[in-house]
Amino acid sequence: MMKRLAYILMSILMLGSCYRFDPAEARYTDGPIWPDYMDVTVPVGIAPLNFCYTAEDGPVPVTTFIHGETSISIKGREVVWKDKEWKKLLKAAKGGDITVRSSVLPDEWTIHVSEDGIDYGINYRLIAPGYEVYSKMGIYERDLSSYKERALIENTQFDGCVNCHAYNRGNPADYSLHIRGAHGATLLNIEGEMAAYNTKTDSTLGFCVYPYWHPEGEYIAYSSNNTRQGFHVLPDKLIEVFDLDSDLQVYDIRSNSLITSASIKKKDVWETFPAFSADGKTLYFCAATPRPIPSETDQIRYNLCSVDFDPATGAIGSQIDTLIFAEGMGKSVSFPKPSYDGRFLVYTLSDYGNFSIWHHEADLWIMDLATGESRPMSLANSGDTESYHSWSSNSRWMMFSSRRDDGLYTRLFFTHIDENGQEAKPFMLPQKHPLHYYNYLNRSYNVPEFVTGPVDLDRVKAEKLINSPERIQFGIR
Amino acid sequence: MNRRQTIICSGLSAAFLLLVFAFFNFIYPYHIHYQEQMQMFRFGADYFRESIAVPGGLGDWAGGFLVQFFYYAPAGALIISILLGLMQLLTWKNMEKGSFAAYPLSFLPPAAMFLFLCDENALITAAVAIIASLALSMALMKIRKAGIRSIIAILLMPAMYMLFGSISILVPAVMAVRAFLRKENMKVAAAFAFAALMMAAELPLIAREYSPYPLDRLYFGVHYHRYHNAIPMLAWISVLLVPAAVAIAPLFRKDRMAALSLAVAILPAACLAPTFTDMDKERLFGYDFMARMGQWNKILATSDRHAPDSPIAVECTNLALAKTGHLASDMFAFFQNGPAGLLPEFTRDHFSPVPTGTVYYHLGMVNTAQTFFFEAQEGIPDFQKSARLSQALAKTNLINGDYEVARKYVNALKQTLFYRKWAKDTEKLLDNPGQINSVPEYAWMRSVRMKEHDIMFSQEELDSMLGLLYVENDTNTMAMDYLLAWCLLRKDLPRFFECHQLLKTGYDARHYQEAVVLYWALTHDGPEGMPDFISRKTAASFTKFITALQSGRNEASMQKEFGNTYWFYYHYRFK
Repeated sequence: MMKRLAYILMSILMLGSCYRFDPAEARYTDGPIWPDYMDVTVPVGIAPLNFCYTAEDGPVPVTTFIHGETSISIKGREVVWKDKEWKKLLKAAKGGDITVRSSVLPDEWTIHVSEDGIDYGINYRLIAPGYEVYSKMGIYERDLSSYKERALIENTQFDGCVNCHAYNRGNPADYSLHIRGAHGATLLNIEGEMAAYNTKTDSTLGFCVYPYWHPEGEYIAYSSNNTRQGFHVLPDKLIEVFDLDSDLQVYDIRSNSLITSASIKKKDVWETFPAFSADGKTLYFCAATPRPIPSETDQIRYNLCSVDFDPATGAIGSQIDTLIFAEGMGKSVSFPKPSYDGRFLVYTLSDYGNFSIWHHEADLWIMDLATGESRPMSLANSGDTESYHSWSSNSRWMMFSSRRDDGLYTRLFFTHIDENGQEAKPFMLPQKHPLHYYNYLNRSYNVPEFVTGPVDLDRVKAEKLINSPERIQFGIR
Repeated sequence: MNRRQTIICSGLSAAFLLLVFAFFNFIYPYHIHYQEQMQMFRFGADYFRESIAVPGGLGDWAGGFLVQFFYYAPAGALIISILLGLMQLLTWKNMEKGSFAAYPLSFLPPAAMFLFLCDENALITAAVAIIASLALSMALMKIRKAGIRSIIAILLMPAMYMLFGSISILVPAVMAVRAFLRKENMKVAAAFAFAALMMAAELPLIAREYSPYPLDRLYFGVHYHRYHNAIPMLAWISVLLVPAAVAIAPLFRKDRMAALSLAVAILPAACLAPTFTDMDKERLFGYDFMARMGQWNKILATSDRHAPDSPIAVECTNLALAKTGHLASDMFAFFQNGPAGLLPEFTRDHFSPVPTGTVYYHLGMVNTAQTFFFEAQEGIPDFQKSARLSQALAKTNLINGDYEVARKYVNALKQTLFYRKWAKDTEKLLDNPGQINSVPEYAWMRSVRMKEHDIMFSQEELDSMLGLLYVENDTNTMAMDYLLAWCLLRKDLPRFFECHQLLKTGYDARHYQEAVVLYWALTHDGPEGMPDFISRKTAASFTKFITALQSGRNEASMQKEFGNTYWFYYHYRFK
C-alpha cells in the first residue's frame, strides 16, 4: 500500500516535468538505433531525425554529425536535435552526405540529403487497427518540416467515421472526403467551396469511395464497393476485408454527374482502386474475377488493368488492357498509383484479395510505364506489410505505410525515387521522441497523402454540413 | 446554531455519508466495477496533457484519477460518499446566514447527484466540477469588495471553463445569488450577473474553434456523461439546486421549519431513487465481474437465487457450469434462451461483447476473444481505453505470440496503479518468451487454442469451430461440452448424436442421457438397442414425462416436475 501511495505521489509530482528518455522502452529492432536512420536519403525540409540507441546500458553515446567543416556532437542515449542546427546542417549538405559517427558503434553511417524537395506536409487518418467498431479517429495534418500535427476533422464532432480522403496532386484547395455512418456524406471542396453530397444513385452500386482526382481537376474517379469483413481464427492472420461486388465510375465535377461505362461496370468482374494517369488519358484500376466467399476468399486475385479516358468528353473506352496479370503469378494487385511525371506506377502485391494492409506478405512493386517492366521495391520493403502509398507532387518521394515494427500498428515511411525509379532506403516519419511517441500511439496511420500546403478545412462548417440532412445528389450522365 | 443543533447537523451529514457508502458498497458494487473498467487512468505527463486539452479536462482527469480506485468497490463507494459529502458541506458553506432549519437544504444538490450517479454511464467529473466551483465561489466571496471580487470571478471564468467545463458557471451563479442576498451594491451585482451570463454564452462558442466537439456538448459538458449525445440532466439539476438552495435558505430561519426543509431535501430523492436505480443492470454487471474474476460458484449461487433472465446472465451461468464441470448435467436446471444464451452474437456496444469474449477465451478461441475485447474497448462511447480490456488484449496477443503488440498494452498498463504489477510481471515474460508457458493459464490457452484449421469465424458455423477445437486437442473438453450444448439448444439432435459419439469420457452426463433417450424415441420404434449408458432412472423419468405430456398437463405443471430436464426445454422453449 505504501509503495502504491509513493507511486501516486511521485507520478503526480512528475506531471509537469519534461519528458525523459527511458532506455528500457527501446524495442522493435535488433539494430543499434531506432528508428533506423542509417544510410537513408532525406529531403532538405524534413524535421530533425531524432533517434535513440537501443542498448539499455554501457557508456553514454556521443553521436557526431559531420559535413565539410561542420561537426555537431550530441551526447545521450536519445539523439534530440535543435531544430535550427538540423535545418542549417541539411541546407549545407544538400546534394551531399552527412557522415555520422558514434562513440559506441564501430561503423559510421551516412545521411544523404537529396536535392529533391518534398511537399509541405501530409494528411492521414489515425484509427485503431481494429475490426468493425471505431473509437476516436480523424483526419490529421502533419507539417513535415516540424513535429506539428493538427486535427482537420474528428469523429468527436458527429456520429460516424471519416474515411477516404484525396487531394488533386496534393493541392490542399481541392479535396474529397467521405464520411460513413448515420451522417454519411462526401464532402467535396472545390476551389474553396465545401459542400456535402450524396454519392449513391439508383444506377450505381453504392457510395463513391477510393477517390482519385483527374490531373486537370475536372473529374474524380471513384469506385463503389460492397465491402465485408471476416475474422480468422488462427493467430497468424486476424482480419480479411473483401468485396462482394464493386464497380467504377467517374464524377464530372462541372455537371455534377457520374459517368459510367459497361467496360468498368461488368457484372462478372470486380473493379476497384481507380487512378488516372499523369496525362489524364488513362484510367488504371484493379480487377478480379468473382469467387465464392468465404470458401474461396484466398483465390480472389486482382490484376492491374487500364482503360482509355477522354478528358474532353469524359468518355470511357470500351477496351480493357491488362497491364499486370497478377492472377497468373498467384498474386493480387492493389492501390495502383502512377507517378505524376508519368514515368512509373507503384502498386502493392499480396497473395490474394485487395485489402493488403492485413497481409503480412504485402510488398510494394514499381512498374516502369515506358517498358511495362515491374520489380519489387526491395529497399523499401520489409518482412512485414507494406501497403498504401502516395507520391509527392514532384514524383521524387514516395510515402508508404508499413507494419514492419510490431506487425499491427501502421507507421509511415518515406523513400526517395530517383529518375530511374530506384528507391532509396526509407526513413520513418520523424517524431521529437520517436520511441516514446510510437510506443504510446494506439492508432494506425491510414491513407497517407501528400499536401503541398496547409488544408483549409473549416471544421465548424464541415460539422454543420455533416450533421445537417441536406445533401446534394450526384446525378448520372 | 447551538451545540445541540450542530450535533444534529453533523449527524445528518454523517448519516448521509453512511447511506451513500452503504448503497454503493452493498447494493450497487458492480456499478462501481463497471465504471472502473470503462477507463484507463495513466500516470504521466502525456496522459495529463491529453486530458486537459479539452474543456473540462482537469475535472475529467481528476475524475479518472478517483475512478481508478473503483477497482475495489468499497473504495469506490467511499470516494462517492466523500464527494457527495463535500458537495453538501460546500453548499452549506456557501449559504448566507445559514440556519439550523436551512441546513437540510444543503443536501439537495448531492441528493440529485446521487441519483445521477446511479446511471452507470454518469461520470463523477460532474461532481468534481461542482465541488471545485463551490470551493472557488466560497473563496472568492471572502473578498469583501464586490467590484474587485466580480472582476476576478469574470477573469477566472475562461480558466474554470477550460479546467472543469460548463458546470463552472456555478461560480458566478452562486456568487450572484450571495451578492443579492447580502444586499450589496445592486448595480455591481447586476452588472456582474450580466457579464457572467454573456461570458457563459460566449465561452463554448470560442472553445468550438479549437475543440472538435459539437456546440451542445460544449454547452452541456464534454465529460459529464459517457454518451456524448446524452444531456446530463440530473447533473445540471444538481447544479441548479445549489443556487436555488442558497437562495431559499434565508426563508428557513425558524427552527421549526427544519422538518419541512428536511422533507424538501430528502423526500424527492428518496421517492425517485427506485426510478433511477436499475438492479437488472447491477446483476448483469455482477455476472460480468464474477466471470472476469473466475468466481464460478458465486455465479451459480447468484443464478440459484435469481433465475438468469438475460442473454448475459445465461451465458455467464453456462460458462460457470462448464468451468465447474456441470454444463452437461445441470444446464437445464437454469433458464435457457436458446443458443444465444451459450454464445451470443456480437453486438456493437462496449459491454455485451466482454462476457462473450470471456467465454471464447476460456474455450481457446483466442482470436475471437481478442476481436470481442478489442471491439468492446473501441466501443466505449467517450473514446476512453479500458485497463481491464487492455489487460485482456495483452494476454491474447501474448498467447498468440504477438509480443510487440502485447508490449504496447503492457506499456500503457505500466502507467496505471492497479494493473502495474501485472504489467511488469508480464513484461518479464515478453522479454523471455520461453518463460510464458511457466504460467499455467498461458500454457493451457496455448495448448487448447486453434492451431491448424484456418477458417473464418462464423456464428452460423460455431458447431464446426467448437468441433475443430476438440479435434485439435481432445483435452479441451469444454469445447466439446459447448458443442453438445450448442446442438441441444438448437434442438439439432442428429448432430448432437453424431458429436456425442466422439466423447471418450463423461458421455453419460444427465442431459446427454436425456437427449439420447429423446433422440432414440424420435427415431426408433422401441428401446431395443438403446446405448447401455442410459440409466434406468433416466429411462423411467422419460416414460413419466411422455405420459404426462400425453395426458395434456399444462406447461406450469410440467415445468414443476420436469423443468430441469432437456425434454422440457425441447418441448416448451426456444420455439
